[in-house]
Amino acid sequence: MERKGILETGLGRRAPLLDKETWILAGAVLLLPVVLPYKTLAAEILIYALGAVSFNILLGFTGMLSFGHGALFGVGAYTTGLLLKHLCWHPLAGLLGAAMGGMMTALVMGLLSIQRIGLYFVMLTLAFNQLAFFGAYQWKQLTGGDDGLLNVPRPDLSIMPGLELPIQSSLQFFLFVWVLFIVSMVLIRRVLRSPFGRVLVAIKENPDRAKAVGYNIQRYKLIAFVISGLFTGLAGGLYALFMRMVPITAIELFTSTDFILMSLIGGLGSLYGPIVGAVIVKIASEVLSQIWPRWLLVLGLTFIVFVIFMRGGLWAFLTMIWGRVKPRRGLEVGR
Amino acid sequence: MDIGLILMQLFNGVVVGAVYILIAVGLTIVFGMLNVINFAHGAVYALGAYIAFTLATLIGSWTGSFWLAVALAPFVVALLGALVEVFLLRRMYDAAHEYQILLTFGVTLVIQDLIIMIWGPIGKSLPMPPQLVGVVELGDFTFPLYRVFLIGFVALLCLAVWLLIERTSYGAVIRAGTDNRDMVNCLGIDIYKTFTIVFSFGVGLAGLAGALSLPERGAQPFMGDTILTLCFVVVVMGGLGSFVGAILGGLIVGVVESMMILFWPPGTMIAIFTAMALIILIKPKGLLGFR
Amino acid sequence: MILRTEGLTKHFGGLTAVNGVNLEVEDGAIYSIIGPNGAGKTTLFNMLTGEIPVSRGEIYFQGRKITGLKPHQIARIRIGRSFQQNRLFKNLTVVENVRLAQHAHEWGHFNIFKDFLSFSGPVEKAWQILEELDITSIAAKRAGELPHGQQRILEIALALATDPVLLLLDEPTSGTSPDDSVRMIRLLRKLGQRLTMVLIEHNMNLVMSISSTITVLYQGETIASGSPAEIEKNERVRKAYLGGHSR
Repeated sequence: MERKGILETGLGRRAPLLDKETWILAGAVLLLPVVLPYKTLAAEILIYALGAVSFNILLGFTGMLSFGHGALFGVGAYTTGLLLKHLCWHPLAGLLGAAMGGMMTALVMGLLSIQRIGLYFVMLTLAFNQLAFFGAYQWKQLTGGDDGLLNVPRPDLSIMPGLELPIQSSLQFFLFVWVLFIVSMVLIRRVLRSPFGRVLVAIKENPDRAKAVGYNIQRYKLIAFVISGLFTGLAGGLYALFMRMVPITAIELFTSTDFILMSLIGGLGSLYGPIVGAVIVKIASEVLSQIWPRWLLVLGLTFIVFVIFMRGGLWAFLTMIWGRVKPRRGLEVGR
Repeated sequence: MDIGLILMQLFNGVVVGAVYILIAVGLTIVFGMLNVINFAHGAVYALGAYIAFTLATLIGSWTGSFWLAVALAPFVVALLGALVEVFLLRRMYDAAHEYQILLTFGVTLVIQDLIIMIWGPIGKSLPMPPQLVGVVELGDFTFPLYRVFLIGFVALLCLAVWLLIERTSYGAVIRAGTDNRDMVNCLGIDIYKTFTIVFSFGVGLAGLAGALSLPERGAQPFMGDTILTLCFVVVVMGGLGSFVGAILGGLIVGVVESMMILFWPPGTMIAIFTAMALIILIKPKGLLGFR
Repeated sequence: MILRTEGLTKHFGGLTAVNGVNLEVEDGAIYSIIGPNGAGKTTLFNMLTGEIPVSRGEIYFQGRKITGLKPHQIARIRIGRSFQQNRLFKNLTVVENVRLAQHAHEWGHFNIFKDFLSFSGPVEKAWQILEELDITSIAAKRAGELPHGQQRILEIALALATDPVLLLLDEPTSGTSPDDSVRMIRLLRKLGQRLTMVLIEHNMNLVMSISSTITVLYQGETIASGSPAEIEKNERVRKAYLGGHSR
């Protein structure tokens, strides 16, 4: 029928929770430890990729620029670190705590930062991140201050009495992160493809119109921030397990800018772009920091170049090439 | 608690606030006119301090040259600001605000690293110029001359800026442009040139703040980071775009900060934040905001 | 009386944009507001839909006071609004634009667990609106790529998604070609048969041919109000606005 064809072109097709896309992503990401020189780098990349994708829910999809994701990441890391170190919790429970911590922090930050004047959000999230950093710095008994929270245990995962999954070696830990990463990506994609997620895109496109058709956009922005906080906190928790400690850099402003840079380079407008960005930024920083200590300069120049000339990021570039090789069918609105 | 101590801290709060005011005024004017939040404002403050340092030490003995440095550094910084505006920021006026902010943030990273490359990572200091050494005595209280000078200078400068904005025809253009950019363009006034001038001016003010802070605080590459955060709080408190709001906000933050240092130093940031939170809850646009 | 305002006033600093306007819109009317540029018409609309706060006065909709409600609340009580400058979701397709607008008024718009296409209600309703406005052929096009005339129709489609009983249209034919204007007039006449409409317009053909009541605004004040025939003959209006020309 003509109508069906038009609707499919105009709206895209329904995507089940797990589909071809999921498996391709899972497979591609599984290649990381094979391709990279160190397996630990693979796990670290996935952790940051999750943080970047989570950050991009706000910037790429809702149009909110947050400089506060370092605070969310850091809170998640400290939460897991403390739960495992002092209360000897199961790693999964510790990660749940991290996600909760991220959500709560995002809720508090959001209630204050999400104002009728959208730009206050950018400034206030920056300020909050600084507040969190100074808090972590001063509260030495809890966080270890400058030295960091040391000796975070990484116990094997007990599934049932007697059955324990080891996550000690770098490959084992990578697989653990891989599972959680894929699960998170599936959930995030579902949220972005939900009616709620479509409203976020509307808010980014034209917030005044979104209001005029009946959406209370403050509420949507706040929930988006909380959801982003959940996954960023989770990434932080994974980081604590990864490092077996929580350095104070986890909550620093620099972590926030890491996520921004990864999303920018990878591609703001797509779900998967920040993953590409995380791969590139992490590899580049490993390589560059050994060659040239003036790494900040390169970062800043890259920022500027990408913001002016390549806002679609590398993902847009790659999909453009892919589009030339394999013709696309219709307009996919789901991105 | 000794009332004298409290009054002294109040005075110190105003001094600290004066520096915040200079930076915040630049920030708020740039926003009011260009609709851009300049995330590079902190880095520019640092740059001002470093350039003043170089100028002061280059010009032979530093006794008279501090003044020359303070006079010149803001212009150097303003010139750099003009270059950034013309070659980088101007391309972004059609883009969403968030991208403009990202651009200025990239500029921050570049500036900070250039500072380290040129002046080294350790930080510089400059002794107090001899004209400002000493104290002013008023009854029981002694005020450092330097700080009195700072308050007086900033107050005069604010008055001058206020007169410029409210009483001159140029200021009228700025006020109109804040309200309606396109209309000003239609009137035949080159809005883009005005943007460059306003941006350079705002940036120059921040550079001046850095130069003035040099004797007391010295210069470090990342000195701009914390002060940028505080100035954001100032601007949110006072209302984005409001000149008088920036002054009020700066005073409030300065005084709260100094008082907290007296009573409970670790709680300084939290107190400032709480003050801001309270103000926003009651007046979401800031004390004097109109947008 | 579906819409009524009492002494509606708006000050911007020293400037009074709207001064003591009293509107009385009957159920089912096509009510036009005309006046020269700067007369305060859009400001009036902005107060009606909560985009800007009211300085003084009250607004009543179906007998209830609605002064000070915010835009999203206005949409919920079934007042639809189109804007003078297009406010579209430019990077989204036409059907997605309308679907989004529609879903705000159906259940599940806050759902984060299901794919948006599993809610067929908003899609169905969106299609119906596109059919009513005869723009189904462009449903899959990106809103930003449409020619101006079709964008103006999409503006109205978005207003219709609220399933309104009252439609506020700000210069629906602004910037449209004569052909598009004719199409728009036909469309408005059709819509006027099933809902109450308040229009701001400069197109005199349109205003005179379809309005049941016309109010003339000049420098923020009502200077005349009545049927098209009465307005045409009114001397004050002629001087201020129509410039003495007859139709």
